[in-house]
Amino acid sequence: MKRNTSLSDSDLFIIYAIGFFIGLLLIVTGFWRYLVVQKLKNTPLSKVSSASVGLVALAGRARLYQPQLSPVSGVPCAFWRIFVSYYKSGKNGGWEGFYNAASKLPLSLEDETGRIPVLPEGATIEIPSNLSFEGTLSEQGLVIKKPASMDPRVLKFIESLDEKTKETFARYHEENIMLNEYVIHENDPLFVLGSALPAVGVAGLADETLVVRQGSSDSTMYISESSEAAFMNTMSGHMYIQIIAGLALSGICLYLFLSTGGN
Amino acid sequence: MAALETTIGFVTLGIIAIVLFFVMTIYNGLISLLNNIDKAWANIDVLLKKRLDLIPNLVELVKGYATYERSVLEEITQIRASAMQAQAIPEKAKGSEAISASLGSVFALAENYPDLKASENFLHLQKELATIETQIAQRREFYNDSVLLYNTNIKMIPSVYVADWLKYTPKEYFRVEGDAGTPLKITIEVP
Repeated sequence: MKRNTSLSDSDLFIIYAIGFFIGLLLIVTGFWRYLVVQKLKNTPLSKVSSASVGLVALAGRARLYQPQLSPVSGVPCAFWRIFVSYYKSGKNGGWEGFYNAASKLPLSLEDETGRIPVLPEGATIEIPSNLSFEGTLSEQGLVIKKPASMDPRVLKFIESLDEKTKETFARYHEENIMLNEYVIHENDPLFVLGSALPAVGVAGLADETLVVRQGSSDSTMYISESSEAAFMNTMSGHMYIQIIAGLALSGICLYLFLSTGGN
Repeated sequence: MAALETTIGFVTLGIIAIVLFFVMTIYNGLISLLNNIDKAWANIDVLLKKRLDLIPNLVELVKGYATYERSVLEEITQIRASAMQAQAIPEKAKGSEAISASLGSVFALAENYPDLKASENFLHLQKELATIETQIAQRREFYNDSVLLYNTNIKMIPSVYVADWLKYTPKEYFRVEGDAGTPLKITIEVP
């Protein structure tokens, strides 16, 4: 094997070792997804009125439990989430998140047999982005690097934040930031996989019998706007990609690691 | 060469670990499916028992108004007694179907007795029984879906090997003959 003169053997060891462990991580997360897909396959779809305590899969439409507006686009919604990241340039560059906030109010899932409240806290939420903005914050305000018109809603949202959070944003004022708002509107199709538990002691749900939330013994909690079948296909697709990529990466890195060690 | 052999060794260990993982997952999945079936059945059974418990109240109420309809009331009492003896799911399904038909007869004869029809207790019982019927139908659907998932899983590769090793056999559906499970429709007329 031709030696790469710009990298020493110890650098190569480190690179191959990192690649091997990244591969293992991909395999582990891929198998974790496999367990979720199995749970999904083994949990038949329930009607709201016949949902009982334990893991349930429900499909229906989103309904507002309490009226609320999304913070950036200002639309009435059952649930919102904001995720902001900045582009880290350089050798290990990429988008890195620095702000993540979501609505804590419950939403409702309604089917032809009734409604049930859903607590989104802790859930993995797979919904398309309602609003996506990319630009740069500078000391003078928002400077748009991309040829897009200024979105005053994003500036208004940042100005409405508390001082501590504004300081967090200010740290990235020279960076390219991306803000995504995810919203579940009323009447959007909804699929939920989570634990149906007694609503006793849950604030604001005194009149309810059951609530779907992340359980303590089973932390599975997914909310998606896709159908159950589409959601399962997406999860399965990610699972295969992660496992195959992980096996390939860890196998290749392991072989190269051992080969380099022999020279 | 040594590196290749070591890699093959690690890969072999990895494959063994993956196979053990899949066997464990299949086993856990089958246990989960069995527990789902037990839970779904328990949720139906509680409603079947609740319905059986309401029948003596209904019989006493109807007796007070419809003194000459003894045969219908005796029939439902006998059917109730048989249903309470049922153990296996197909027997319980048959008993449930017979109870639904008998209740239909009782509510039909109530049409001939306006005083009975107007009775608050009767209306309350009628509404409660109608709700139970609807819930039984919905839970039956869920139970049968759970059984279908389990029965399909134990026949599919690779779960079939684990199921055979554990001697798991298919479960019975909760079948109702005739109209495939639509709930008993009871009309409540408010005087």
